[in-house]
Amino acid sequence: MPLLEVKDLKTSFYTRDGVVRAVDGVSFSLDKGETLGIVGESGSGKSVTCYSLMRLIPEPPGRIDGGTAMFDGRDLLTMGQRELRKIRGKRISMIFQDPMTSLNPYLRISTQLTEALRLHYDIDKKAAVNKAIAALEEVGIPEAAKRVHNYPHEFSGGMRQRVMIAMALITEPDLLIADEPTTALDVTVQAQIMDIIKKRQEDLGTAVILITHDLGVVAGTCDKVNVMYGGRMMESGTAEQVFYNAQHPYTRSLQKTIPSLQTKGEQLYTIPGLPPDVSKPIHGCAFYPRCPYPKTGLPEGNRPDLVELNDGHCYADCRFCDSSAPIESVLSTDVPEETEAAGAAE
Amino acid sequence: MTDHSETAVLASEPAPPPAHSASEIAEEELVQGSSLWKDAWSRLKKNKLAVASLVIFLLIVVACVVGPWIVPYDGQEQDLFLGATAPSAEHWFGTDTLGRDLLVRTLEGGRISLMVGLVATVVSLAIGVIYGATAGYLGGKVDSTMMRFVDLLYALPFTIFVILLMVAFGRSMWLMFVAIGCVEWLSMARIVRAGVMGLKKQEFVEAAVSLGYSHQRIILRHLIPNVLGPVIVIATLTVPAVMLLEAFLSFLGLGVQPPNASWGVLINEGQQNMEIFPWLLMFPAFFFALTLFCLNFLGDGLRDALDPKSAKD
Amino acid sequence: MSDQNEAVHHEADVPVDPRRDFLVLDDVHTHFDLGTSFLTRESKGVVKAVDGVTLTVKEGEILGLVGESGCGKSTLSRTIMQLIRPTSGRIFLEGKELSALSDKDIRHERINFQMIFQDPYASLNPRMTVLDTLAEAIRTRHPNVKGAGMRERVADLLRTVGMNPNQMKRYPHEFSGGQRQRVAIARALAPEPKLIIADEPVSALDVSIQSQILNLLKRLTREMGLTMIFISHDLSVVRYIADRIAVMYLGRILELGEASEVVDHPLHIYTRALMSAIPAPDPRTERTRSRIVLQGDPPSPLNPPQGCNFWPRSPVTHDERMKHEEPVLTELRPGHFAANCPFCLNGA
Repeated sequence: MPLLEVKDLKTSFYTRDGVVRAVDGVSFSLDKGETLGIVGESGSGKSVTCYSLMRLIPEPPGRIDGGTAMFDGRDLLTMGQRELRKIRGKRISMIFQDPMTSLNPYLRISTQLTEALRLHYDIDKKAAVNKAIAALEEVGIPEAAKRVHNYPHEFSGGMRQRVMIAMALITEPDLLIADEPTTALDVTVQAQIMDIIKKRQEDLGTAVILITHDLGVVAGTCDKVNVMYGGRMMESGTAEQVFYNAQHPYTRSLQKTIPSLQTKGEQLYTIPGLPPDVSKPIHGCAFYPRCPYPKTGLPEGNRPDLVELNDGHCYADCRFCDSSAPIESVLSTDVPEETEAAGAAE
Repeated sequence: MTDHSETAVLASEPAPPPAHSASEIAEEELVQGSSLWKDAWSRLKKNKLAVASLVIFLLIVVACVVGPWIVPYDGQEQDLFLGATAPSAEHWFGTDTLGRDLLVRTLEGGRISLMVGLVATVVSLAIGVIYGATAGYLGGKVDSTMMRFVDLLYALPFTIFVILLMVAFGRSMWLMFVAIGCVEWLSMARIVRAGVMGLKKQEFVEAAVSLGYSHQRIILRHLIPNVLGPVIVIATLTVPAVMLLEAFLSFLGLGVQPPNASWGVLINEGQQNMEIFPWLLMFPAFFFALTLFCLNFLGDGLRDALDPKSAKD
Repeated sequence: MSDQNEAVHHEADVPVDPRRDFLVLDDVHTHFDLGTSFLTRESKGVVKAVDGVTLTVKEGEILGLVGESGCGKSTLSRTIMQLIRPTSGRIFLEGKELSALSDKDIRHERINFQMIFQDPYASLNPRMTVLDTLAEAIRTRHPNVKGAGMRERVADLLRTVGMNPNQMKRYPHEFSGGQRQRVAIARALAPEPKLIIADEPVSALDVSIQSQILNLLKRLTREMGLTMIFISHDLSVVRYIADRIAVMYLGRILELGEASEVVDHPLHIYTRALMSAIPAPDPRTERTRSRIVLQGDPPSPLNPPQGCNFWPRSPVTHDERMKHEEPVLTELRPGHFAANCPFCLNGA
């Protein structure tokens, strides 16, 4: 039995201006010790997916409309608040994007680190602090015994993110959800942080869900990858399957448009148009308006079903375009003219 | 400077059409944008309490402006034989101890009270916004000097300040407007300055500087319109505050002088005879309270409508 | 327009001829004095955001400026823009010494150099339509254009940046991030500048939009003969767009050269570390390659380390001499400069 099995998760926000279907039918499963990368742009629903699992969606306006998330045999989406509190912070913890705002500036690091320990375990203060020091040493903070009593503002950004990791892992959780843990950091620090997450994951056998927009970060760390777009899953599979045998036009286009040191060439390919407005109903395929492949029909009906290609490699089988050709032949390097404006405010 | 870069921009257009010819872009083809003001207005319209307040407030204003001409009595005409009478078909609100029609006096008092509220608020707006925006935008030594001056005025006890003014220039209604305006602009200046300090770091202001716009243009076109949201809210809440202040001054005998009356004066007179002639207190107090309620609800509604965060939820 | 400022610059023995080169930075320092403590009268220190940058930019080229946060790249861009005046050093644009002009005179010069900002959500005035924003910027060079003529110019600008001109009456909040960035680019082009400084113009955008904006910037620079300084923390983005790359660290330039030279044959250990830190979107490469891992975070420009300022993070050696010998940017290969700290340079 997998550690976490999410089936057909749906989360919407009911706002004055209409229903925003932030997550529309997402399924995945995760084994112990595995790393799953959820890749997507802003508005793709990648963060909302994980906030839904933690039941951290503000209600109202948000609401989990359907689906199940079986964690160790129990459904996270329907369990009571009391039971949930026992799991949150102890068996599932989370790292947030911005290390500058996710620590309480008025409390010492030691207080913040030991809080979760003392809440979930019967442990005295001294033992908790010793554990906190050990946790800080594990994430590479020098002079941990001294620095544990400092305040967050006495740490730099990279150091704070290390503290966040130490804090998230101090209860030795089964699942760690990392929401863009390196986006706010410098590249040279990013590499250090990802290394620490990887190392701690190996030590503790924690499963990790890594939310990111960066395909490079996913390639380096993840066993499995979910590609999301417009609140829906476009493609999922092992890293190798998704990177070397991408099936969905969005995955293929994305790979081609990212500048990288390895790709040499005068022009970058571009995906025309804008990400979809999820506050409006999407017919058929979410990527249809931007898809570079020749269209074979108008998008209609529900979202395309996920089809399994082989051995767990799934993709949304869009029936509205002919994606048989290699992506290079259809993508252009022109700067596309924007004809459709983003949804008006009203 | 050279003009070669100009041709570069227009290179895509081999022969630019003369300006007077029919423009390629007709007005009706343009997608009309919806400004933040328009959005705020549409949000305000959804707030029933705020709209009702606005309607009632406007009705009161219209009644106070037009009313005294319609009612067939003169507010200063005394009828000592009549004296104080209870509300009747002839005198809807009754008459006061000097036999004056209370309806006319309430409406005329409303004129003065509302005028004090509006004039003093406009004065405080005009000074406060420009002063605060200038201090916040220029920053540094200019800012600290300008704001220390504000602190100094703040430290002056208000009543003593007004009494001094009255002593120096004699009692006049206009002087009272100025005195209240002079005090109220201080908090406006502080709010605007804080807003401008925040905006100044935004990149669109840096962009305006790098385009070489003058200080005046940056303050008037780029900074002030963007702090206007909170300023409007504060202004709406300043009007009732000023009206209360006027009532307080009139109560002390420093404000409006008889035979002129404001709501404050009427309430003062009314409470002296409260037990015998309760209507003398009831009617002016009711209108005064109603106006204050309306403006406060309207201010709250505006705050919700203008706050960009509430636009998203 | 501003011919009265023609003779302002000084004659001096600059290593490069300021009149021949397009943009010249000569030993530019931008320091921020934090003042003295109110009680103890002790200095709170000086932030050396830009600490001695000498650089020339040729007409029509794109210079990529790479560095981590706090390296001074944003301060340097604002110093060139004269939004912050340099503490010392001189800046010449087409032979005119910008750093010597008065605040009043600089205003007339500003139409020649423009900036594109990082955050398209903050860089447009939310209360003005696209038409108003662009018309205001066009009037800086053409004060007398009005009515239909102005509308035509705005429409041209919008077409140039790939937007539909019928959107000109809309407000910034009605556009997406990528579209706003296009409007911001149009605004920077409106005064018909010669130099454009783009400060992280794509880092706030979605990945699928980034390439649109990068291609647009590259095309515009070529078609209009603009010169651009492109600032980014992302070496792979800079490598795509720039002709030459300058790597900045703690207010100084550590390496400078042709883009392909710097990326394919990096000289300084920091450049190599920067490159190896960029994750490649390729699982097999990622799993097999070895990283040069730097130690710790970038140090603060308040009290920067002495000598070769890279030594506290250097993964190779911690030689005492590094702390004392101030390295100089030296031409080690033709057109390829690096700070000549013997311990930081590639052994090759």
